[in-house]
Amino acid sequence: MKQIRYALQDLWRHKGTSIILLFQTILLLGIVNFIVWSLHDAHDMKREIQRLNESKEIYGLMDFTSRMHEEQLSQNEKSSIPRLRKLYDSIYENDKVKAFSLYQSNIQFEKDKFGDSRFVNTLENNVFIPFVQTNNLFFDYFNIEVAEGRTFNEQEYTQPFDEIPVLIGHDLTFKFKLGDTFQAVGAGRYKVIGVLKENSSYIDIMASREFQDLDRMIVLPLNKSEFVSVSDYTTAIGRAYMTADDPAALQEILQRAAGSDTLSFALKSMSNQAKVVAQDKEKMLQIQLLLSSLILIFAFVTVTVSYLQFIEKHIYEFGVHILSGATRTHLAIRLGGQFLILLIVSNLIALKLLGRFADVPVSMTTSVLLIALFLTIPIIRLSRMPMTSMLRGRSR
Amino acid sequence: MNRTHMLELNNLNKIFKTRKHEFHALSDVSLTIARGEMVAVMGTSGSGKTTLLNILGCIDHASSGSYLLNQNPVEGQSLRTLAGIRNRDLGFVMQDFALVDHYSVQKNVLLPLEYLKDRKLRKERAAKLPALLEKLHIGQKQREKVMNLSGGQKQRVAIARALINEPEVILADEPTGALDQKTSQEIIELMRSINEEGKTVVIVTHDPNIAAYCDRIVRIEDGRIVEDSAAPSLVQV
Repeated sequence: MKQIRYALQDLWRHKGTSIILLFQTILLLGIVNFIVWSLHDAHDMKREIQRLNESKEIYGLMDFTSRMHEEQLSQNEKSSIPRLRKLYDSIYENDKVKAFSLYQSNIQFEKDKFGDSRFVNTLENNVFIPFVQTNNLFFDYFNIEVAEGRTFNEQEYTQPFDEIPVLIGHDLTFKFKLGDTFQAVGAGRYKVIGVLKENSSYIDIMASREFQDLDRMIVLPLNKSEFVSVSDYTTAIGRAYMTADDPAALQEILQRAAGSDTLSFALKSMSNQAKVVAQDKEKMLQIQLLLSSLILIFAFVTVTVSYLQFIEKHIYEFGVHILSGATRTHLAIRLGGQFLILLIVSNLIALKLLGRFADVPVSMTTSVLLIALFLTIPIIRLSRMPMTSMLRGRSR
Repeated sequence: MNRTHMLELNNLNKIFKTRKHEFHALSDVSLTIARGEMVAVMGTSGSGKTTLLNILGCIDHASSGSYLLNQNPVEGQSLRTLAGIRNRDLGFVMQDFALVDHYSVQKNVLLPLEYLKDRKLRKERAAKLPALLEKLHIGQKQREKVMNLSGGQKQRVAIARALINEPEVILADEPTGALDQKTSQEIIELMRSINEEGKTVVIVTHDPNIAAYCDRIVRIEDGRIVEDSAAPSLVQV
């Protein structure tokens, strides 16, 4: 314990160096945690896509509609909405096709009225909670279940409601309870009819490279009766994922879209898109690995040099301790204790900062490896130093 | 007084080796020092007297030969055991004081107690600190940083540290080497009084006036003992 106390005093006496080393170890732990998280995430995503495509290939839509054409559709709502509705029906109300939407946006609240804003995004005076608007196939495909309440019934997908039924993610129960109603800015009223199980998530591989965490999201029913504008239809159609026993049924949808002079699409299979995502993730991982290698080398040099300098500076003090009955083990504990304390603090800070990316066993393992790697040279130096030289205040 | 052998060296050799050369720092040294004796080890610079003291102090080890401390063999002991011997059985007073400048007087003096395993003894001996410092005339300096003390005061702190663990042997390497004449006399008189209280004292010095305070003078030349005799009568230093 006394050596740890000395280690604490040493850290305090060399505050500047301690802060630099602390920053480096936090950075290193952070990046290692992030790499491991990315590896896990890539693996989980690959497994999830394999699971989703197990029976039949799922296709997403790639929208090629020009901005000018979209504007034309919006300007001529009266003629375009009926054509878009037909296209919508050919996707979502087609017996030959199974389709679900992953349209995602935000429900906005006034920050002052919202109160506690943990787990939610805030910008200036507003709070934003992301939502996904979808139908019952979504729950089947992604195995989404409720912990409390229920999911949407058939009417809630087809009939208008004064209070739109919603499901909330687990973390949002800090704010809303089952049966609560709430008013969003510039939108209708919502009623909580169910709470999703913790750790629910889905992938929207056409839009994002990551899993979407439903714990902090709201799920809205995809309800055509609530659609009033061209954009209501275009977003619901554009974010559709489809599968069909007969691939010709999907081709018919594309032809219908082209023939109705509404939207221009191409189909892209989820597994093909997954390959692109995997390549992207691989590149990102390579960058992270390169970065961490550079930081590791830099940290290795800095830590080793710092401790060698520390030994040089305190060699006479070490000699006096040896004269008083200390062993080299005591001195090694004092030296290692400094780095251990730094690592404990770094771990606490890194784990706090990393949040969901943090992995305690990974951090601990990394710390042990860092101790072994970084302290080897200084400890060897210390153990080989003759006591008589220490008392002369020289390392050789 | 029980005059059993406190320190006993038999045919001790110390060879320093480099890639090209071998240097015999001590050759075939045999020496016995009785309990309660005060011995001066004299010799010119490079004669091997400090090497001898380092071996006696378990700071260095002999290349061959035997060393008995209080009739217990020292050679072949583990580093941990040697550290225990340095801690419990030996007290050191060095020319450059061997103090940590940024520690207080109290912390420097109590340092050997930090490595003493017996908690009860540790407490008992720590309680004697104020009396010890008073006896050495540095009672007022207890909380002061060593860097702010004079050379004489620093050496008194070193003596206090050497005594705090109540060792039987005090080893001093040129204890007055960095001090003026008056302070040197005070320090050597202090060493003598410590010896009179029953401690075995070995002083390495090149100063005959310091050696004169000892019971016996061992003279070393080129790593060999060339003279081992009673000290001449005390002269004024």
